[in-house]
Amino acid sequence: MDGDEAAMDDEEQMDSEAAMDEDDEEDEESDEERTPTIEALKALLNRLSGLSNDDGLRLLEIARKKLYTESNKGAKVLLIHIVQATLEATDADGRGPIEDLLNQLQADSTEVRVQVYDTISYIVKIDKLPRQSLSDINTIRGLITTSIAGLKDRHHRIRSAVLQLISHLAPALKVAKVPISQSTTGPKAGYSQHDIQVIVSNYVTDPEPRVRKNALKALLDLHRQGFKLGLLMYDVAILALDDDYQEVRLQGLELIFILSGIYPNQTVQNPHGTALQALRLVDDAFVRICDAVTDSVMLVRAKACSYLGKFRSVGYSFLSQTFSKQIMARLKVDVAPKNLAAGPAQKLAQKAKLIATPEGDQDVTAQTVKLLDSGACGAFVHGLEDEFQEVRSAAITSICELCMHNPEFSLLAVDYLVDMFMDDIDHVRLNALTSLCKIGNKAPITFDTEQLQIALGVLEDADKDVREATHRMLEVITMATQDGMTSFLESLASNMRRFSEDQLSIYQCIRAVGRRHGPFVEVLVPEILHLDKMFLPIEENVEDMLYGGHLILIFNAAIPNPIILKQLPKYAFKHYTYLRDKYPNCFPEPTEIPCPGTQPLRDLAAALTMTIVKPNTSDMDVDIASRHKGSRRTAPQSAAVSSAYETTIAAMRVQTEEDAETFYENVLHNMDRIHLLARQRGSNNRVMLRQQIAACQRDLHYITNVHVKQARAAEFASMYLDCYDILVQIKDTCSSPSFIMMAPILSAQLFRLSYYMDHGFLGLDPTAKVSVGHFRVLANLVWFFGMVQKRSHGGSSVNSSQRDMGMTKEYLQSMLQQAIKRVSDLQFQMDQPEVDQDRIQRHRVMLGDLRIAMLKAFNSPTTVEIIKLMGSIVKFVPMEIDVRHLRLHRISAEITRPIMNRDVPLEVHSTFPFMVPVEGIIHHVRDTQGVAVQVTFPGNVVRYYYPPKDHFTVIEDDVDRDDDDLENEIMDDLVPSRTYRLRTSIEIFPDAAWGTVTPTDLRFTLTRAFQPDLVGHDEFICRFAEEITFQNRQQEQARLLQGGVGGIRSGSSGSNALATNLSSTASFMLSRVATSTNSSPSGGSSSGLSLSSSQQNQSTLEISKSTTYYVSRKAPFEGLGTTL
Amino acid sequence: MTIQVVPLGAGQDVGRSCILITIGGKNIMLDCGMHMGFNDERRFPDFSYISKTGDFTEMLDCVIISHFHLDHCGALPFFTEMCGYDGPIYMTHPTKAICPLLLEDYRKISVDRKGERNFFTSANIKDCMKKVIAVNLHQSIMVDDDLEICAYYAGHVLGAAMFYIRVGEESLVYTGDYNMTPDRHLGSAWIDKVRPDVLITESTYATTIRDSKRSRERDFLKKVHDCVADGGNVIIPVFALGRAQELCILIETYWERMDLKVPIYFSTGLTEKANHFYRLFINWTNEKIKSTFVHRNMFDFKHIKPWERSFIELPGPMVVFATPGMLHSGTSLELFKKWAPNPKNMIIMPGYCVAGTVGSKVLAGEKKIQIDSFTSVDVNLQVKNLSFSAHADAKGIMQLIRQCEAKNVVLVHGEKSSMGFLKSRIMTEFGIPCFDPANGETVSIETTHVIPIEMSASLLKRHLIRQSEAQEPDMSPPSSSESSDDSTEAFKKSLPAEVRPKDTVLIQGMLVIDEGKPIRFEEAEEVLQKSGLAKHKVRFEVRKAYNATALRAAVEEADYYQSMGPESGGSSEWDSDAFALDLVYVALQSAIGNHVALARDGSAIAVRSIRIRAPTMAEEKEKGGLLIGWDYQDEDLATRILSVVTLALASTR
Repeated sequence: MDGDEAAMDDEEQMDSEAAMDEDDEEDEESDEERTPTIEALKALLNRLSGLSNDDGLRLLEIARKKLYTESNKGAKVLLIHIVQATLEATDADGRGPIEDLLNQLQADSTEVRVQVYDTISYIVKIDKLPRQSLSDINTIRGLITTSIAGLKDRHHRIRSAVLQLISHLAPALKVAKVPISQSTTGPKAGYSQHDIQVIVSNYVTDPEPRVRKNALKALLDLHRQGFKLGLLMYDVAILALDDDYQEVRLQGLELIFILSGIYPNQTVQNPHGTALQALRLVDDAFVRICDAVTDSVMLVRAKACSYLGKFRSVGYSFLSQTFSKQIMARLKVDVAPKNLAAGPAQKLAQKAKLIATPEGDQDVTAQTVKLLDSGACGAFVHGLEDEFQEVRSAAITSICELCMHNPEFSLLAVDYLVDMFMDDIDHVRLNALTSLCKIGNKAPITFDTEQLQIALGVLEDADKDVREATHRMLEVITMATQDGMTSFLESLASNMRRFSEDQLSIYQCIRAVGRRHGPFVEVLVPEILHLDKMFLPIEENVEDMLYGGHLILIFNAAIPNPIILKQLPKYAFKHYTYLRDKYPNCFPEPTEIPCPGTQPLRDLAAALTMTIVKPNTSDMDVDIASRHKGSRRTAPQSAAVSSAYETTIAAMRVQTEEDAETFYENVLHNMDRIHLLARQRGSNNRVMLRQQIAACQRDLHYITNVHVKQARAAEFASMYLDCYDILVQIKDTCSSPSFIMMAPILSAQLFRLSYYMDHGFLGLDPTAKVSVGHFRVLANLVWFFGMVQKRSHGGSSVNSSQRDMGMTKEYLQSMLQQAIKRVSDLQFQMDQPEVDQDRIQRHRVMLGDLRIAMLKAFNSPTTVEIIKLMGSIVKFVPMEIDVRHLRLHRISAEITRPIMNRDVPLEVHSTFPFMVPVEGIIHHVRDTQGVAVQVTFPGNVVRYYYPPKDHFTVIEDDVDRDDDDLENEIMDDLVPSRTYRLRTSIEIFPDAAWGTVTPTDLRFTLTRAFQPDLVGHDEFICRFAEEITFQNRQQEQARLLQGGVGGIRSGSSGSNALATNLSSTASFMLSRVATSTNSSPSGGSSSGLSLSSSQQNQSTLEISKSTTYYVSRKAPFEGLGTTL
Repeated sequence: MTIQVVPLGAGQDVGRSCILITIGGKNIMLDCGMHMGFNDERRFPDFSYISKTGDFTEMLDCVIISHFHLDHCGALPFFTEMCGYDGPIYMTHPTKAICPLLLEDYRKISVDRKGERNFFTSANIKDCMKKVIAVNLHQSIMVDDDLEICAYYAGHVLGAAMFYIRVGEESLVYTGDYNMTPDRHLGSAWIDKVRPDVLITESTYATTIRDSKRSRERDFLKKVHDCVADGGNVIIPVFALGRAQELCILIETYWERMDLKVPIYFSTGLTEKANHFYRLFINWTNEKIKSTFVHRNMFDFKHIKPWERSFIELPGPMVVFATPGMLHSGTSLELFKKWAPNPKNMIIMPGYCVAGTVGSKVLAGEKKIQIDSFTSVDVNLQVKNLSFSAHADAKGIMQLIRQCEAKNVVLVHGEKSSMGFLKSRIMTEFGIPCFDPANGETVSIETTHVIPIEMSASLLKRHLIRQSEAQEPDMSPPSSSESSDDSTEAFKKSLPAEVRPKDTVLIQGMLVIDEGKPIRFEEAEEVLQKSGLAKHKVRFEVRKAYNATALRAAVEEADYYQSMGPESGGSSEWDSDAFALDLVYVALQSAIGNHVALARDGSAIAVRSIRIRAPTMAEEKEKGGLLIGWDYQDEDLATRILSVVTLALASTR
């Protein structure tokens, strides 16, 4: 008990030491009766969290009263804490407590007064001080005046607290919602903005460094809250830069930087200049911050370095100095020749028996040289040479930023950045690499042999991130010489040997390099492919990693320089076809290579035709589009359709962005027509509707590909139309007997699509969410009727009687209950204030009707009621979505590893687990929570692997989005979406059931968890549908596999057949993907509601294309078998 | 007070650093080095300057060694063991560890090879080291009651330090050799803002501004590579510790990167030990080494092998790091002799060479070099002079001066011509005095003498409180703006420019100087009480003369025009003093009436202790004028009043 008291006194004593003037009134410290009060207050303070509003108010009252009677300062401080905490927790007005607190300023204890000021600034900060009326404003004015009086206090803590309070109060005055005429009751009524600034800045010269720091902080706070700092503050900031204390200097740096942004073009006198030179303020500030790069404290240096990069309008003459230690030319300096050893100066030196200046040094002897204040001289040289990695890293980042805005500057910078590749600290190296990569993306960089040599040296780095960054960096550079290319290939070769896991990254790198260096590659072709005019070429091993890299290089180099292809042996083209399928992102599309029609190119063309049948580089959307198309159309049909698409697209080649815009408008207009059509009833309308939808979707798909800005919205709209399409199908079939079969599938599709729309995009407004949710009501109904009809039919076929009917009744009720819950949830969602009420008005009424009807049916589940309900399906009109105003981001992902290995399956031992490395990139997610790797095992068994958080690394923030603000308005939380990279490995246990003869395929997909509306229920529906389709699929698979094997047999002589076979498998795989759902059928019993999903309450959504990975199982103890 | 600085060595010269200072009555020797350029008695400082009789221990309070280079510590055993100094010697831990090795090496070369006599022995070195007190960085050491020393990191070589020396209020910083740019294995020099009265700094590179380190390194590597690719041998003369490690790290990483197979050798058995020391004193290296040494020790060289003498006959290219760095003896000289005639070979001089050494001759470009009286060598090999010196360049020196905010600068350890340049730059850019004494030349620097005075905290507090309270009424301007009816009325507003921190406090009291005790500052009353002295009151009085007739004329004139009353003519009881007082009263009323209360009685005006009165006594009356008297407390007010009175009375003239 006494310990606490003592601790508190200790604190006070420490403070008193600092200021030498602590009050000497600790007379009641040994008062035994007080300590229980303090203990009690402490206990109370710790338990404040769960307080109700009323209790809080009462406590506040008590605390306020007690403030007047309490005499122990420790207790007082705690009481003030309680006042603060209760005020925050309740809806009490801040004015009364502030009055009480101000009364406490009479207290002798510094502790209490500091706490009073702190609490008041906190109250102001949490906005408990009303500022509507004139009297409120006057209160604030009064507060300001009172607190300014407090600045005279002798104790530094009080001065600091007051400065902080002022910085909070002053803006409150500014944003007060009072007409100007009223608020300015006279110039003398209070301090003006300017006055407050002047007062605060006066304290930058306070004898106490902590007060100085806080004064600067207060100025910065004022700036952040919208005060325009006066030009006068520049001098204050300069003063702060020379301070003895680093904290003050740090704040000074920030202030100078801010001022340079406010008054960039103001001229200031440079006091250091020999002649009276006027500089622009921004230049002057830059030079001053450059000076701080040689500060004695590391933190200041690091901060100075990082500020340097934020300057935008600094003159180039100043920027260029940062890389040169030569004295500014402007100062008219006579710099001695760089190296005396050369030229006549040498002889002179010899005569005088003087030793020549060593190379790399400069001799300065001119009397006009300013050694110290020589401007921005060598700031970055110092920064990059600094002992501390923080400073170096900050300097690199700054250089990079400056380069992004000054292309000229980047010419100077490259050399220094390349040097940083050799830094001892890996994250500095990494920073240099990524920075250079960024610069290179902006403006091309050319490396000479030496720079390239250094860069290639980094390839041997042990850190994988560094190596990959090097690959990325090499992608953007141009090599100056032919030798460069040779050494580049050599080091890549050794890199591949050493780090075979880098293969994909290296291939990507080679691809980009090839595209840039057509001529260089041309010369190298005979060498790297071992061609000789005297001999016939020997076909190389297509699986050789190095050879693959060479082909990538050659074919990519053929884009700028198609002549290369003439040199190639024929087998290269065959290999091209094969490898292009294996590494789809590394080889150029055949269309990219200009074909002048010469003989080897015809070979190429022939090789390429084989691959054209393959449904190409489809994105996720195509998957989804074909997913349900596949379910009702056969594959050839869809192929035909897709080729038809292509012709249409070719016909309407849209050239410019504007055209795309108008085209998009037209499409949206068409969508509106669909809505109109949908409202008219009648079966013949439906045919038209479906045609319209198909046309519209085709257009949207096209937009997705060409129109960057609207691509995501178009995807979204396309899915929406998919739902529409399903709706039409439902309406078509709902009266026919086939509905029983169709219903589960259709409703599952609907669920799936709508969930995808809900959770696969970022930036949906609440109205759109409601519209999407509306589809799920329909889906639920469809499911319901499907089940009802199935029951009734099934019941008759199984020949059960009354007992079963009773079951059905309960069953009906339970199903209805679910549906009702969904409808009420949606209604609740509709009532949210953010939802655009005008647009959903009609649907709300309809939903209400539906709910009533359902309730009726629930109460008396008779056939009549249910048939009545049936009508609502026919009447169903989906809500429109205003696609025009959506700014969307698609949550998507791609798996970069493993890649498909149909031809070389991984051999595993049947009894031992094995690791599969999985890597991927996830775009536009706020966090990686719920992102999982879904592995589909043979037999459609699905497992989810949730990688730990540290397996994700942020690649970039999506900061460059132009429509960022718009989205943020909609989104409550301002967490920016990011792109993550996942790098993990998954341990897989082989299953005895896997086949030993044919390779087993594992399918990897990245998924993301979400919360479904009705937990369990929706998943079950989807799974049920999956089960049905899976059975169909298996039959189909068997059929197809037979066909595939036959194909191999018949065409085993040529690789053509292999290619077709591959492509057909690929298309098969695609259609497989289309059917996979988000839940795993467990054991196959369709009536059980048990779930095997790995996380409860959550379903998952695929966000990436899936990759198939083949594994062939070795028989257990193979060798043993033969010996026996 | 005066601080005296006498360089015994290193004054306008490089080598045998030895500087004597006298600060606050203490004599300190900074460094005790030898000169590489001489082989006779001139190689050691002239210690007879200190004392003719050899009682060095009495004369010197301590010796401080900044780092282990021989030109900073080479004469130490000679001084302690052969001259007989027995006082404390201070150096840092690494210096203490490495220093004896180098001394021993030096002794071997001098005695065993050259056959010198009268040289210190190994035992001498050991005994000398026993007197050394090792210090840590930033550790304040009280040599005696008044003398405090503190070491700061200096870069340059392992264990190099700058020393801050303080006696009372006087302070001095001796930099030794230092480097302001960090290199591959050492950090940069750094010092607090200690604001020394004198800064003694080295100025080896006083006129040089160094280019970026990286371009220098690249240059170096390229040259070495080109030479070995051409089949030539490269000799790099270095000192065993310091640059050697820097260049080894550099070459090692380059060899690794370029996958070169050309052998690299490092002469001298010190290599092993040196690397051992670097591992031992890892916290004296820079941040990079410290943070990476867990994974990889930079000093474990893969490509660099120890040199053996037989290798000199090996054919083919090789790179040899050979000691010593100035080619004055040892392996480096031997190799140089062997390789100099072949133009394919190359010598790279990475550091500074003292004038007179073979190294300096090579650098000067001489084609035929006389090595000793018997041998001379044709120099055909390529000579490259690269700047890898771990000394601060001109900018670095300026930076250090700014960092510690020195009040005077003394330049040592540099060449005279370049010192002159730097000196002029320091004087113009900082506006502080700068000196460059020659050896034996005394520099006396006057410092402000600060006399500490004791004062009780309660006295200070009282005045602080008084000041903060007194200021409130004083500060408030004439509040004429009491028109507004809102709540701000309650608070008085002060002018924004006047709301500023107060950094001065006026304290009234008495100085008590007592024999043998520190000077005390006390409350006057207390002192009076204690000492039993009586309090005297001091009152001033000034006579302000005025022209009575002019006054009267003015008054009458005014009366005439104003009132025309019959009484005005009645000049029977005309009292010019009363009129003058009236006049003054009115003037005062308008000038200061708002602040201070004025009281007027018949023949006097009273403002606080100030009285303005008409003379009463006869002889006073004769002189005429008004008498103004005041107590000294009201001095300020009195001056104000005086000026008002003068003005008022002047108007009558």
